[in-house]
Amino acid sequence: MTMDAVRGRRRWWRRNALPLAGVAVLLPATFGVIGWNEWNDYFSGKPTQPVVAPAGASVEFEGAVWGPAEKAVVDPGAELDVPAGSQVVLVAVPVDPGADVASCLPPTLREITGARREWQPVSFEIGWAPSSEQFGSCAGTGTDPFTITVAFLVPLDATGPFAVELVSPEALPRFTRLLVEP
Amino acid sequence: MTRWVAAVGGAALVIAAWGVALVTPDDAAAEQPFVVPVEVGDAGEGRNLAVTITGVRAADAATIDGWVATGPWLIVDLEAAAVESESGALLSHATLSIDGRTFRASERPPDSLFRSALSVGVPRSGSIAFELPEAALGDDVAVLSLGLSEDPRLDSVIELHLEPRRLDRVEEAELVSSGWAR
Repeated sequence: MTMDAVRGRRRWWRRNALPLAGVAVLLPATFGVIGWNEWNDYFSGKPTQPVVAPAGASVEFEGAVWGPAEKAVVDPGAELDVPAGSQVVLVAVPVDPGADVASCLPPTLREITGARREWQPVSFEIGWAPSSEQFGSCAGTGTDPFTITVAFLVPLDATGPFAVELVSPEALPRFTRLLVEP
Repeated sequence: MTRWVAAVGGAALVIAAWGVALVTPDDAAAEQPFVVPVEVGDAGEGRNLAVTITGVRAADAATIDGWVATGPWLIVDLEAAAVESESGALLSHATLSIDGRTFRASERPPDSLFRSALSVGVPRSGSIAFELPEAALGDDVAVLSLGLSEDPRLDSVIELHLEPRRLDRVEEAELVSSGWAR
């Protein structure tokens, strides 16, 4: 390669320095903006931003006070159909709705470490019927304080720590995560 | 010399392009299910579905809880559980592919694991029944495919290869009633 050719090539880079800098900035920016936009859309419709209450504490969320969540292992006795290798965990979440009626879906129980498995409430599957005063979600509640009581069927290998998660559809992507004592 | 090199180079590129076109997977390949192959008696675990197929039976008539229907039927007995989440964890995909034809599990039995809800870590046992044309039961190769979403693309499916012709055909077979496996 002659000196002239090297010089010519250098000149080309120098002459196009501005457009090259533009490409170097705009190319990653395009991917970044499109990616951020798509993931933001995806995550904003899902419960992705927890408002956490430590074990034994309550948390204010959407104008209501939630918790503290309590958990108890139920003695299956004869009336409950609980398979070997699992146990029934009863969870109670007191709710003070405040001025407006609270809104929430039935809670889920989640392992907050390890596999982060998630359980949904059970009732007839284990032959358990909540009494008419026991709420399974915020449906049918008023502005008076109430308690959500739900049962979960959890395998014995799930040792916790656990959290109860409550989703209010209109508050997504934020939701409440109430830690419970293991 | 240069022309000769160009000709050979061009031909090599055309052959290479042809080769690339040959080995390029089709569009559907990008969204194929993730197959977990199992044998009868083995546990197979996918993303959110763990299945143990405990038996495969062929019968002229299927019966459960007083319900009787003539088939012929291919009955699959299995244990199934969810792995990470109970949300949307229904056994909604159950197909049997024989000789290019795909049969979906029957909705006729009043009690079957098809489209039933699964629990995380706590297996349920029961049966899934396929109502087949006579010729299909005489075939050599059948592929049973089980998954959570009716559209199995991009999710795990548990797959069992079986030989319908080798099954002992009985006159009447009773489905396993759905319940906890243990």
